[in-house]
Amino acid sequence: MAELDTGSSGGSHKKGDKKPHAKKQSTRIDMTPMVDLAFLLLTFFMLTTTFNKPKAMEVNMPVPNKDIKTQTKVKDDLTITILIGKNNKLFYYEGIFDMAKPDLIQKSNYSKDGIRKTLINKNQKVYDLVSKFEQMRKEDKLTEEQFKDTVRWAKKDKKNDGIFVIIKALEEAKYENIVNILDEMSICSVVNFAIVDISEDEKKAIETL
Amino acid sequence: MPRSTPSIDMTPMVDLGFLLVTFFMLTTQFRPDEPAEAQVPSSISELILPEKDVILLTIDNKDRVFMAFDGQEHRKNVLKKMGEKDKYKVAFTTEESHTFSNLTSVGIPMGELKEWLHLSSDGRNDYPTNGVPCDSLNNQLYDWLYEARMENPQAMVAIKGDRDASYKKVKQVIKILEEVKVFKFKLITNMKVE
Repeated sequence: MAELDTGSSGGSHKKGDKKPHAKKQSTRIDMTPMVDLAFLLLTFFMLTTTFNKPKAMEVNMPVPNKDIKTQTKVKDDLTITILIGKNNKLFYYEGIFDMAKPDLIQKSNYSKDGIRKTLINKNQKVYDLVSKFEQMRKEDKLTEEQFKDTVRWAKKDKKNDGIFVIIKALEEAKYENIVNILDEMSICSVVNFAIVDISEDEKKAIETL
Repeated sequence: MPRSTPSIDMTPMVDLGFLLVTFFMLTTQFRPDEPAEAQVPSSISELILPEKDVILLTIDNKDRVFMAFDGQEHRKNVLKKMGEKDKYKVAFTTEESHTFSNLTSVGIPMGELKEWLHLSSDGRNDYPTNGVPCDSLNNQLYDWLYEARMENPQAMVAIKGDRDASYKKVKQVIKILEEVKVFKFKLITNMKVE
Protein backbone atom coordinates (compact mmCIF):
# COMPACT_ATOMS: atom_id res chain seq x y z
CA MET A 1 0.00 0.00 0.00
CA ALA A 2 1.20 3.47 -0.78
CA GLU A 3 2.68 5.30 2.09
CA LEU A 4 4.00 8.74 2.24
CA ASP A 5 6.92 9.48 4.37
CA THR A 6 6.24 13.05 5.19
CA GLY A 7 9.18 13.23 7.43
CA SER A 8 7.47 15.93 9.34
CA SER A 9 7.66 13.94 12.48
CA GLY A 10 10.90 15.12 13.68
CA GLY A 11 10.53 13.14 16.85
CA SER A 12 12.21 9.93 17.85
CA HIS A 13 12.18 6.70 15.80
CA LYS A 14 9.79 5.08 18.20
CA LYS A 15 7.03 7.37 17.08
CA GLY A 16 7.77 6.73 13.41
CA ASP A 17 7.35 3.01 13.96
CA LYS A 18 3.87 3.46 15.30
CA LYS A 19 2.54 5.68 12.57
CA PRO A 20 2.51 3.21 9.61
CA HIS A 21 0.52 0.79 11.78
CA ALA A 22 -2.16 3.32 12.37
CA LYS A 23 -2.31 4.17 8.65
CA LYS A 24 -2.66 0.55 7.57
CA GLN A 25 -5.76 0.13 9.70
CA SER A 26 -7.44 3.13 8.19
CA THR A 27 -7.29 1.69 4.63
CA ARG A 28 -9.90 -0.91 5.47
CA ILE A 29 -13.25 0.48 4.47
CA ASP A 30 -16.35 -0.79 6.15
CA MET A 31 -18.22 -2.34 3.26
CA THR A 32 -21.25 -3.45 5.21
CA PRO A 33 -23.59 -0.67 4.01
CA MET A 34 -22.64 -1.29 0.41
CA VAL A 35 -23.25 -5.01 0.76
CA ASP A 36 -26.53 -4.30 2.49
CA LEU A 37 -27.57 -2.15 -0.41
CA ALA A 38 -26.48 -4.75 -2.92
CA PHE A 39 -28.59 -7.40 -1.28
CA LEU A 40 -31.48 -5.04 -1.00
CA LEU A 41 -31.30 -4.47 -4.74
CA LEU A 42 -30.95 -8.17 -5.31
CA THR A 43 -34.11 -8.87 -3.37
CA PHE A 44 -35.93 -6.09 -5.17
CA PHE A 45 -35.03 -7.38 -8.62
CA MET A 46 -35.73 -10.96 -7.69
CA LEU A 47 -39.20 -10.06 -6.56
CA THR A 48 -40.17 -7.75 -9.38
CA THR A 49 -38.86 -9.80 -12.25
CA THR A 50 -41.22 -11.89 -14.31
CA PHE A 51 -39.68 -15.07 -15.48
CA ASN A 52 -42.51 -17.15 -16.76
CA LYS A 53 -43.54 -15.46 -19.95
CA PRO A 54 -47.25 -15.89 -20.51
CA LYS A 55 -48.10 -18.84 -22.66
CA ALA A 56 -50.85 -18.55 -25.17
CA MET A 57 -53.20 -20.78 -27.03
CA GLU A 58 -54.22 -19.89 -30.52
CA VAL A 59 -57.87 -19.82 -31.48
CA ASN A 60 -59.22 -19.43 -34.97
CA MET A 61 -62.83 -18.52 -35.33
CA PRO A 62 -64.46 -19.33 -38.64
CA VAL A 63 -64.84 -16.44 -41.02
CA PRO A 64 -68.55 -16.11 -41.75
CA ASN A 65 -69.17 -17.97 -44.97
CA LYS A 66 -72.56 -17.83 -46.58
CA ASP A 67 -71.58 -19.73 -49.68
CA ILE A 68 -72.99 -23.22 -49.13
CA LYS A 69 -71.00 -24.75 -51.96
CA THR A 70 -67.71 -24.20 -50.19
CA GLN A 71 -68.91 -25.54 -46.88
CA THR A 72 -67.49 -28.92 -46.08
CA LYS A 73 -69.78 -31.84 -45.43
CA VAL A 74 -69.06 -33.72 -42.26
CA LYS A 75 -69.78 -37.38 -41.66
CA ASP A 76 -72.28 -37.79 -38.85
CA ASP A 77 -70.57 -40.74 -37.26
CA LEU A 78 -67.35 -38.78 -36.94
CA THR A 79 -68.95 -35.90 -35.12
CA ILE A 80 -68.93 -35.37 -31.38
CA THR A 81 -70.71 -32.47 -29.79
CA ILE A 82 -69.46 -31.39 -26.40
CA LEU A 83 -71.89 -29.53 -24.18
CA ILE A 84 -70.42 -27.48 -21.38
CA GLY A 85 -72.88 -26.91 -18.57
CA LYS A 86 -72.79 -24.86 -15.43
CA ASN A 87 -71.07 -25.99 -12.21
CA ASN A 88 -68.32 -27.76 -14.16
CA LYS A 89 -70.73 -30.22 -15.71
CA LEU A 90 -69.88 -31.75 -19.02
CA PHE A 91 -71.90 -33.72 -21.54
CA TYR A 92 -71.35 -35.02 -25.01
CA TYR A 93 -73.20 -36.82 -27.75
CA GLU A 94 -72.22 -38.44 -30.99
CA GLY A 95 -73.84 -37.75 -34.32
CA ILE A 96 -76.95 -35.68 -34.72
CA PHE A 97 -79.00 -34.38 -31.83
CA ASP A 98 -82.45 -35.85 -31.47
CA MET A 99 -84.94 -34.78 -28.82
CA ALA A 100 -86.67 -38.16 -29.06
CA LYS A 101 -83.59 -39.99 -27.89
CA PRO A 102 -82.79 -38.59 -24.47
CA ASP A 103 -80.17 -41.22 -23.67
CA LEU A 104 -78.07 -39.96 -26.56
CA ILE A 105 -76.49 -37.42 -24.28
CA GLN A 106 -73.75 -38.89 -22.14
CA LYS A 107 -72.41 -37.46 -18.95
CA SER A 108 -68.68 -36.84 -18.79
CA ASN A 109 -66.10 -34.87 -16.85
CA TYR A 110 -62.84 -33.00 -17.24
CA SER A 111 -60.61 -35.71 -15.83
CA LYS A 112 -58.19 -37.90 -17.73
CA ASP A 113 -60.70 -40.73 -17.91
CA GLY A 114 -63.53 -38.45 -18.85
CA ILE A 115 -63.83 -36.60 -22.09
CA ARG A 116 -60.19 -37.23 -23.02
CA LYS A 117 -60.68 -40.98 -23.13
CA THR A 118 -63.81 -40.59 -25.24
CA LEU A 119 -62.11 -38.30 -27.71
CA ILE A 120 -58.98 -40.41 -28.01
CA ASN A 121 -61.01 -43.56 -28.54
CA LYS A 122 -62.97 -41.92 -31.28
CA ASN A 123 -59.92 -40.26 -32.81
CA GLN A 124 -57.69 -43.31 -32.31
CA LYS A 125 -56.13 -43.42 -35.77
CA VAL A 126 -54.99 -39.81 -35.82
CA TYR A 127 -53.96 -39.92 -32.17
CA ASP A 128 -51.82 -43.03 -32.67
CA LEU A 129 -50.17 -41.58 -35.74
CA VAL A 130 -49.40 -38.29 -34.05
CA SER A 131 -48.00 -40.04 -30.95
CA LYS A 132 -45.87 -42.23 -33.21
CA PHE A 133 -44.47 -39.20 -34.98
CA GLU A 134 -43.86 -37.48 -31.68
CA GLN A 135 -41.90 -40.50 -30.50
CA MET A 136 -39.88 -40.50 -33.72
CA ARG A 137 -39.21 -36.80 -33.31
CA LYS A 138 -37.90 -37.44 -29.81
CA GLU A 139 -35.54 -40.09 -31.15
CA ASP A 140 -34.42 -37.61 -33.81
CA LYS A 141 -35.59 -39.79 -36.68
CA LEU A 142 -37.58 -36.87 -38.05
CA THR A 143 -36.51 -33.30 -38.52
CA GLU A 144 -38.74 -30.57 -37.14
CA GLU A 145 -39.91 -29.79 -40.67
CA GLN A 146 -40.75 -33.40 -41.50
CA PHE A 147 -42.48 -33.80 -38.17
CA LYS A 148 -44.73 -30.84 -38.82
CA ASP A 149 -45.57 -32.08 -42.31
CA THR A 150 -46.39 -35.62 -41.23
CA VAL A 151 -48.52 -34.40 -38.34
CA ARG A 152 -50.38 -32.10 -40.66
CA TRP A 153 -50.95 -34.99 -43.03
CA ALA A 154 -52.14 -37.30 -40.24
CA LYS A 155 -54.63 -34.73 -39.05
CA LYS A 156 -55.95 -33.71 -42.43
CA ASP A 157 -56.06 -36.93 -44.44
CA LYS A 158 -59.64 -38.15 -44.70
CA LYS A 159 -58.54 -41.80 -44.58
CA ASN A 160 -57.49 -41.35 -40.98
CA ASP A 161 -61.05 -40.66 -39.88
CA GLY A 162 -60.18 -37.51 -37.97
CA ILE A 163 -63.15 -36.49 -35.86
CA PHE A 164 -65.05 -33.24 -35.86
CA VAL A 165 -65.82 -31.71 -32.54
CA ILE A 166 -68.48 -29.10 -31.95
CA ILE A 167 -68.17 -27.24 -28.70
CA LYS A 168 -71.30 -25.69 -27.26
CA ALA A 169 -71.33 -23.94 -23.94
CA LEU A 170 -74.05 -22.57 -21.72
CA GLU A 171 -73.62 -18.91 -20.92
CA GLU A 172 -73.28 -19.81 -17.25
CA ALA A 173 -70.23 -21.92 -17.96
CA LYS A 174 -66.90 -20.74 -16.72
CA TYR A 175 -64.17 -19.55 -19.01
CA GLU A 176 -61.85 -22.13 -17.49
CA ASN A 177 -64.09 -24.92 -18.78
CA ILE A 178 -63.83 -23.63 -22.33
CA VAL A 179 -60.05 -23.41 -22.13
CA ASN A 180 -59.90 -26.92 -20.70
CA ILE A 181 -61.90 -28.28 -23.59
CA LEU A 182 -59.80 -26.39 -26.14
CA ASP A 183 -56.77 -27.85 -24.43
CA GLU A 184 -58.23 -31.33 -24.76
CA MET A 185 -58.50 -30.70 -28.49
CA SER A 186 -54.75 -30.30 -28.76
CA ILE A 187 -54.10 -33.20 -26.40
CA CYS A 188 -56.32 -35.51 -28.44
CA SER A 189 -54.93 -34.21 -31.77
CA VAL A 190 -58.29 -32.93 -32.96
CA VAL A 191 -57.91 -30.24 -35.59
CA ASN A 192 -61.46 -29.85 -36.71
CA PHE A 193 -63.38 -28.18 -33.97
CA ALA A 194 -65.64 -25.20 -33.70
CA ILE A 195 -67.26 -23.21 -30.95
CA VAL A 196 -70.93 -22.85 -31.71
CA ASP A 197 -73.91 -21.39 -29.87
CA ILE A 198 -76.03 -23.89 -28.00
CA SER A 199 -79.58 -24.56 -29.19
CA GLU A 200 -82.68 -24.25 -27.01
CA ASP A 201 -83.39 -27.98 -27.28
CA GLU A 202 -79.95 -28.89 -26.13
CA LYS A 203 -80.20 -26.44 -23.27
CA LYS A 204 -83.41 -28.10 -22.14
CA ALA A 205 -81.94 -31.57 -22.51
CA ILE A 206 -78.97 -30.94 -20.27
CA GLU A 207 -80.88 -28.91 -17.74
CA THR A 208 -82.50 -32.00 -16.29
CA LEU A 209 -79.34 -34.09 -16.31
CA MET B 1 -0.44 -13.25 17.14
CA PRO B 2 -2.17 -10.09 18.20
CA ARG B 3 -5.69 -10.41 19.34
CA SER B 4 -8.11 -9.65 16.52
CA THR B 5 -11.84 -9.71 16.24
CA PRO B 6 -13.01 -12.98 14.65
CA SER B 7 -13.98 -12.15 11.09
CA ILE B 8 -14.90 -14.20 8.03
CA ASP B 9 -13.79 -13.18 4.58
CA MET B 10 -17.03 -12.18 2.96
CA THR B 11 -15.56 -11.20 -0.40
CA PRO B 12 -16.79 -14.28 -2.34
CA MET B 13 -20.28 -13.86 -1.00
CA VAL B 14 -20.32 -10.19 -1.89
CA ASP B 15 -18.95 -11.03 -5.34
CA LEU B 16 -21.75 -13.48 -5.86
CA GLY B 17 -24.26 -10.98 -4.55
CA PHE B 18 -23.18 -8.38 -7.07
CA LEU B 19 -23.13 -10.93 -9.83
CA LEU B 20 -26.74 -11.78 -9.08
CA VAL B 21 -27.69 -8.11 -8.86
CA THR B 22 -26.17 -7.52 -12.29
CA PHE B 23 -27.92 -10.57 -13.68
CA PHE B 24 -31.30 -9.57 -12.38
CA MET B 25 -30.83 -5.95 -13.42
CA LEU B 26 -30.10 -6.98 -16.96
CA THR B 27 -32.71 -9.67 -17.35
CA THR B 28 -35.52 -8.09 -15.43
CA GLN B 29 -38.70 -7.01 -17.05
CA PHE B 30 -40.97 -5.20 -14.78
CA ARG B 31 -44.30 -6.67 -14.17
CA PRO B 32 -46.69 -4.25 -15.81
CA ASP B 33 -49.11 -2.47 -13.56
CA GLU B 34 -52.36 -4.21 -14.16
CA PRO B 35 -55.65 -2.76 -13.04
CA ALA B 36 -57.39 -6.08 -13.04
CA GLU B 37 -56.05 -9.35 -11.87
CA ALA B 38 -56.89 -12.47 -13.72
CA GLN B 39 -56.03 -15.96 -12.61
CA VAL B 40 -55.57 -17.54 -15.98
CA PRO B 41 -56.47 -21.18 -16.57
CA SER B 42 -53.76 -23.65 -17.43
CA SER B 43 -53.12 -25.51 -20.65
CA ILE B 44 -50.40 -27.55 -22.30
CA SER B 45 -49.82 -24.91 -24.93
CA GLU B 46 -46.24 -23.76 -25.26
CA LEU B 47 -46.71 -20.84 -27.59
CA ILE B 48 -45.06 -17.75 -26.19
CA LEU B 49 -46.85 -14.46 -26.43
CA PRO B 50 -44.81 -11.76 -28.18
CA GLU B 51 -43.82 -8.77 -26.09
CA LYS B 52 -44.68 -6.13 -28.61
CA ASP B 53 -47.72 -5.39 -30.76
CA VAL B 54 -50.25 -7.06 -28.54
CA ILE B 55 -53.74 -5.86 -27.78
CA LEU B 56 -54.53 -7.47 -24.48
CA LEU B 57 -58.09 -7.89 -23.33
CA THR B 58 -58.30 -8.78 -19.68
CA ILE B 59 -61.54 -10.20 -18.33
CA ASP B 60 -61.46 -10.45 -14.57
CA ASN B 61 -63.53 -12.60 -12.26
CA LYS B 62 -66.18 -9.89 -11.98
CA ASP B 63 -66.61 -9.97 -15.76
CA ARG B 64 -65.06 -6.55 -16.23
CA VAL B 65 -63.18 -5.98 -19.45
CA PHE B 66 -59.93 -4.04 -19.60
CA MET B 67 -58.02 -3.29 -22.73
CA ALA B 68 -54.27 -2.74 -22.92
CA PHE B 69 -52.17 -1.95 -25.95
CA ASP B 70 -48.57 -0.82 -26.29
CA GLY B 71 -46.68 1.98 -27.97
CA GLN B 72 -46.78 5.53 -26.59
CA GLU B 73 -47.43 7.12 -29.97
CA HIS B 74 -50.10 4.55 -30.78
CA ARG B 75 -51.82 5.24 -27.49
CA LYS B 76 -51.81 8.98 -28.05
CA ASN B 77 -53.26 8.65 -31.52
CA VAL B 78 -55.90 6.17 -30.48
CA LEU B 79 -57.00 8.38 -27.61
CA LYS B 80 -57.25 11.38 -29.92
CA LYS B 81 -59.32 9.47 -32.45
CA MET B 82 -61.60 8.12 -29.74
CA GLY B 83 -62.17 11.64 -28.43
CA GLU B 84 -63.00 12.92 -31.90
CA LYS B 85 -65.82 10.44 -32.36
CA ASP B 86 -69.24 12.04 -32.54
CA LYS B 87 -70.72 9.92 -29.80
CA TYR B 88 -68.03 10.76 -27.27
CA LYS B 89 -66.82 14.29 -28.17
CA VAL B 90 -64.11 14.53 -25.59
CA ALA B 91 -61.20 16.86 -26.25
CA PHE B 92 -58.11 15.66 -24.44
CA THR B 93 -55.37 18.12 -23.54
CA THR B 94 -51.72 17.34 -24.33
CA GLU B 95 -51.15 16.65 -20.69
CA GLU B 96 -54.01 14.19 -20.49
CA SER B 97 -52.90 12.40 -23.60
CA HIS B 98 -49.38 12.23 -22.21
CA THR B 99 -50.66 10.67 -19.00
CA PHE B 100 -52.68 8.22 -21.03
CA SER B 101 -49.72 7.23 -23.19
CA ASN B 102 -47.74 6.25 -20.12
CA LEU B 103 -50.44 3.97 -18.75
CA THR B 104 -51.00 0.44 -19.86
CA SER B 105 -54.68 -0.23 -19.95
CA VAL B 106 -58.12 1.27 -20.17
CA GLY B 107 -61.04 0.03 -18.18
CA ILE B 108 -63.08 3.18 -17.95
CA PRO B 109 -66.09 4.35 -19.92
CA MET B 110 -65.28 7.27 -22.23
CA GLY B 111 -67.42 9.66 -20.20
CA GLU B 112 -65.31 9.22 -17.08
CA LEU B 113 -61.96 8.92 -18.78
CA LYS B 114 -61.00 12.59 -18.59
CA GLU B 115 -61.68 12.77 -14.89
CA TRP B 116 -59.88 9.48 -14.33
CA LEU B 117 -56.74 10.71 -16.05
CA HIS B 118 -56.42 13.54 -13.54
CA LEU B 119 -56.27 11.17 -10.59
CA SER B 120 -53.06 10.02 -8.95
CA SER B 121 -51.85 6.57 -9.88
CA ASP B 122 -53.25 5.10 -6.66
CA GLY B 123 -56.52 6.87 -7.29
CA ARG B 124 -56.66 5.40 -10.78
CA ASN B 125 -56.14 1.90 -9.48
CA ASP B 126 -58.80 2.27 -6.82
CA TYR B 127 -61.32 3.95 -9.09
CA PRO B 128 -64.55 1.97 -9.05
CA THR B 129 -65.22 0.84 -12.57
CA ASN B 130 -67.14 -1.77 -14.47
CA GLY B 131 -64.54 -2.02 -17.19
CA VAL B 132 -64.93 -0.91 -20.78
CA PRO B 133 -68.62 -1.04 -21.69
CA CYS B 134 -69.11 -3.68 -24.34
CA ASP B 135 -72.80 -4.43 -24.53
CA SER B 136 -74.64 -3.92 -27.76
CA LEU B 137 -76.19 -0.58 -26.75
CA ASN B 138 -72.97 1.01 -25.66
CA ASN B 139 -70.22 -0.82 -27.41
CA GLN B 140 -67.14 1.19 -26.56
CA LEU B 141 -64.88 -1.84 -26.72
CA TYR B 142 -65.62 -2.09 -30.42
CA ASP B 143 -64.48 1.51 -30.96
CA TRP B 144 -61.33 1.01 -28.93
CA LEU B 145 -60.48 -2.17 -30.78
CA TYR B 146 -61.26 -0.64 -34.14
CA GLU B 147 -59.03 2.37 -33.52
CA ALA B 148 -56.25 0.31 -32.00
CA ARG B 149 -56.30 -2.01 -34.98
CA MET B 150 -56.34 0.88 -37.44
CA GLU B 151 -53.42 2.44 -35.62
CA ASN B 152 -51.35 -0.72 -35.46
CA PRO B 153 -52.57 -3.37 -37.91
CA GLN B 154 -49.87 -5.88 -37.00
CA ALA B 155 -51.05 -6.03 -33.42
CA MET B 156 -52.42 -9.38 -32.44
CA VAL B 157 -55.25 -9.77 -30.00
CA ALA B 158 -54.87 -11.81 -26.85
CA ILE B 159 -57.55 -12.56 -24.30
CA LYS B 160 -56.50 -12.95 -20.71
CA GLY B 161 -59.50 -14.32 -18.96
CA ASP B 162 -59.90 -15.23 -15.33
CA ARG B 163 -60.78 -18.85 -14.59
CA ASP B 164 -64.05 -17.74 -13.11
CA ALA B 165 -65.01 -15.28 -15.82
CA SER B 166 -68.32 -16.31 -17.33
CA TYR B 167 -68.50 -17.71 -20.81
CA LYS B 168 -71.22 -15.18 -21.51
CA LYS B 169 -68.76 -12.31 -21.27
CA VAL B 170 -66.06 -14.15 -23.17
CA LYS B 171 -68.54 -14.91 -25.93
CA GLN B 172 -69.52 -11.26 -26.07
CA VAL B 173 -65.89 -10.21 -26.39
CA ILE B 174 -65.21 -12.80 -29.08
CA LYS B 175 -68.25 -11.55 -30.97
CA ILE B 176 -66.90 -8.00 -30.86
CA LEU B 177 -63.57 -9.32 -32.09
CA GLU B 178 -65.34 -10.89 -35.02
CA GLU B 179 -67.02 -7.57 -35.73
CA VAL B 180 -63.63 -5.90 -36.05
CA LYS B 181 -62.61 -8.79 -38.31
CA VAL B 182 -60.30 -10.48 -35.87
CA PHE B 183 -60.83 -14.18 -36.34
CA LYS B 184 -57.48 -15.28 -35.06
CA PHE B 185 -56.55 -14.51 -31.51
CA LYS B 186 -54.75 -15.96 -28.54
CA LEU B 187 -55.96 -17.08 -25.16
CA ILE B 188 -53.40 -16.57 -22.45
CA THR B 189 -52.86 -19.56 -20.22
CA ASN B 190 -50.42 -20.88 -17.67
CA MET B 191 -48.30 -23.93 -18.14
CA LYS B 192 -50.05 -26.93 -16.79
CA VAL B 193 -48.27 -28.65 -13.94
CA GLU B 194 -49.07 -32.30 -14.23
